[in-house]
Amino acid sequence: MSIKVKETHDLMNVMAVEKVHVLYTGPFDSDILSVIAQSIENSLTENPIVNRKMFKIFVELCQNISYYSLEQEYLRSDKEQSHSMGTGIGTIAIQEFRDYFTFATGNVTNEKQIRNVIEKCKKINELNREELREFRRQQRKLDPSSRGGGNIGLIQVALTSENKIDYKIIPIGDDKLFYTVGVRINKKY
Amino acid sequence: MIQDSDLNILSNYKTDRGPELVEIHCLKKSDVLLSYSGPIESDTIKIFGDKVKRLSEEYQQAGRKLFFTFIELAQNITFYSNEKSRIGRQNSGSGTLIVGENKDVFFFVTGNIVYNNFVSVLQRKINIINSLDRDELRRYKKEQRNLIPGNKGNAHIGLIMTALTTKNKLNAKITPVDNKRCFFSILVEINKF
Repeated sequence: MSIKVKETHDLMNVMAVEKVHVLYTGPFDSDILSVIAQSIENSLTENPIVNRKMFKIFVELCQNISYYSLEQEYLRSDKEQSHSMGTGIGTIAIQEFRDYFTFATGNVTNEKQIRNVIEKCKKINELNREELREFRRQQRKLDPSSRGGGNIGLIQVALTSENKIDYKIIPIGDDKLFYTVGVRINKKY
Repeated sequence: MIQDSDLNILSNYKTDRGPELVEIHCLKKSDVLLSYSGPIESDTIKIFGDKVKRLSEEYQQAGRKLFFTFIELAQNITFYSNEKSRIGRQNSGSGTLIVGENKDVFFFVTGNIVYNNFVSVLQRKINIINSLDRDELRRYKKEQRNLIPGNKGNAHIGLIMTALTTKNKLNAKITPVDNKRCFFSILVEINKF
């Protein structure tokens, strides 16, 4: 048995004792995302407001991975089609704590791609709710190419969760970075 | 320019005992094709099953075995996991599915929460399966199939079929969750050649 196989087996057992509702790593294609979305919408809590918030955040953050992850999956059948695009690869985790859920996604990126996103995360966390709404209006008026990488999705995530965005950049070698972004979703609304 | 302070921002989702997202993700880099933990019902099995087929399409025979094993063991989670999630009007079992590959093998790991008293039954069954050769396994499968219907839940035909299909041993692992329950996982390997 290879070391990686054993590590995976061990890691999975550690995750089992945590209250992790959904944990997925792999290609973010529409079929898989729709199955995970169904789980989120229907099974997390009895509170429809919380479930709806989780679903909205799921859509915003997963879209980012499928479009922007540097890791892409190309299947043999995809490669045979000359104009086919790969599918972004990433990780998503939903975990439950006493008073809140956390929703986090992660994907591989590089400094050039992530610089503006980090700037946007910092700015989003400095703004209050009204300022965030105004910021979203300004961004919507901009041409998509001049929004500077950081997208409206992150503003939407902050507005929906009503909490700060938690982000992290971890160097993983070969000039690549692992970018994670997460938010808390309170259980009571 | 990214500042050093950006590299160590505390994460809400990081738990005291659990691994960080990057650790989980980086396993993907070399070996893991996909991993999923959460509710597992018929749609989940169908979509992930299709994905498994596509990911292993370059190895026809091994791919078929991987798909068969995937369906057999994933269904066990739906039916027998002690952790249930409500999806729509149905209660489905929750568990974990991990599919990966390295140079010579595909591997598949499934795991779910079970009561402690059920674990000893499972472990005993796996020990029996691992001790038998191919012909003995076939005979054992027949014997188990002939059990009276009330006892068929303990037959674990799926595990016997998995051992026959993969032609490899079943690797079981048990991690306590609390006083009454533990996380029971099985890892199987499918040779590519």
